[in-house]
Amino acid sequence: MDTARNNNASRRMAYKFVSLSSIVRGSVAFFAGLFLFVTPTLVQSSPQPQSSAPVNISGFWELRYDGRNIPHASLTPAAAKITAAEQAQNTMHVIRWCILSGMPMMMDSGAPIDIEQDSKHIGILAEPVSGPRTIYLDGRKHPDMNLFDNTTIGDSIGHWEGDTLVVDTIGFSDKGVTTIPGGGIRTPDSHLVERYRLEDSGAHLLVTFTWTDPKVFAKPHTYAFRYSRAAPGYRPRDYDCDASNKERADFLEKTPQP
Amino acid sequence: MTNRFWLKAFGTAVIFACLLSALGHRAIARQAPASEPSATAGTIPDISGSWEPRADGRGRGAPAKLTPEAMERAQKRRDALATGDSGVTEVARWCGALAFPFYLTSSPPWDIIVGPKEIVVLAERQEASRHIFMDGRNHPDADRLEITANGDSVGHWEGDTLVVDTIGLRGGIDTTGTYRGPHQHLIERYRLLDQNRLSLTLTWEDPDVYAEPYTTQRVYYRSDPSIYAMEDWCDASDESQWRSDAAPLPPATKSH
Repeated sequence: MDTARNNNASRRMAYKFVSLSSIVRGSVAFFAGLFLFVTPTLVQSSPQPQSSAPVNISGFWELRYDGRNIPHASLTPAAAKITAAEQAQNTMHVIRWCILSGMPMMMDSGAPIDIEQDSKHIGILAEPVSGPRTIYLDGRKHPDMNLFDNTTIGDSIGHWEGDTLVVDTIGFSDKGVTTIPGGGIRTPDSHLVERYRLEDSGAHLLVTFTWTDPKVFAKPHTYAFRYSRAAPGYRPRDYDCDASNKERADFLEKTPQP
Repeated sequence: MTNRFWLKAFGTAVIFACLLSALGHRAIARQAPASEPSATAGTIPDISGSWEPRADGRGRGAPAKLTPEAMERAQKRRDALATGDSGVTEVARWCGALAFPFYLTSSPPWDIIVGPKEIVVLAERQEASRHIFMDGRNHPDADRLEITANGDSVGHWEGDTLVVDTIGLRGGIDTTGTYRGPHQHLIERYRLLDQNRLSLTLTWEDPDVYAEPYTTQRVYYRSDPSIYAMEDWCDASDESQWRSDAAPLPPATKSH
């Protein structure tokens, strides 16, 4: 009786042991199968060179109605004399003639911006008329400004401070839309420092802009944009600006009649 | 007895799950060959950076076979240029979008940035930058497709080759004076020949221009690492840019 009980106990133990090992093996096989199932999807969706950057800020980013924190700039007396009407006139000319708008308008142009990042550099593309920005991450310095042809977007170099991308830009021209949010204008003496940081697990991108320019700002002017990640599958539209379109030109140039 | 039943049931479920996983894996590979990772998955060729044309890298392949209408248009263009036409097209005069593939034939370098789900090509020429979506999306349906200067581009890797499919390109006279039809379909195949040379094979379907698909190959060279982006300034309001008589050349004073 005892022997039989012991045998039964041994069988139960053996059965439990076999069952446990089956469960372990089955679980390993299940997760291995799951891994095989999921892995190709991951590989397909991210076939880019690995970046040493701490985060990747790539994607389409849109600025919503509550995404701007823009205090008034402290302007020099000379810059304060530039009237809003004069700036508006310049902006209208740029829009009328489909001229490159440049910085900082392209960062808030009414449509999402596309930021794409790889291990060497970052590109920022806007939908309305503007050249793309290139932010070099390869450790280079700014080129010799005596040889550089100033542009509406300037020359940008970036580096990471923890999880924050710091971008330094000089070499601006006075062409395009020069108005700076909060007051002041972009000039060839402008110096811009931007700080990009992902928030809310990548749902938002906080960018602070700090402009310095001894002829324009009495003290550095800082404002912030908080971009929201655009919906998956977003497609940029073609701005298709046509300066030769007479109807469009008349609309923009002539005073509206009641 | 009950325990044994549930253990058997669990074991059977595990086996089915594994089978389904394996089948799912194979199904993905069959259904989406376009996105199939290459043997170099994880070590995708490094095409990031600036590329520039050089004299020995242009236009290899048989000449295009044009439709009779396209040949007639080309002859008219040649005749116009021979009889005093400045060659400045409307698009160029008005600083319009320099539609794709203009930057490929232009001398400034163009810059590839390989993002996680998208490749962008930054071109200095006006409105010439491109978005190439690598996230597995398809082109929009025909009734939602927006016809644009640079079209709608989707791409995938086939082994070490980046394949880009583009539709939705706007027709008309482009910046170089070449006519393009409204139903173009372009396939680009980019492949590194070595770390400093990028081969591009273009296959162009345009029933209004080509009698059969036109394939040509180009080779681009990696630009010097110190190169930086510039800006191609175009101001349509400045007529002096376009009037050759606005700033006549000074008379020659040098005598031989």
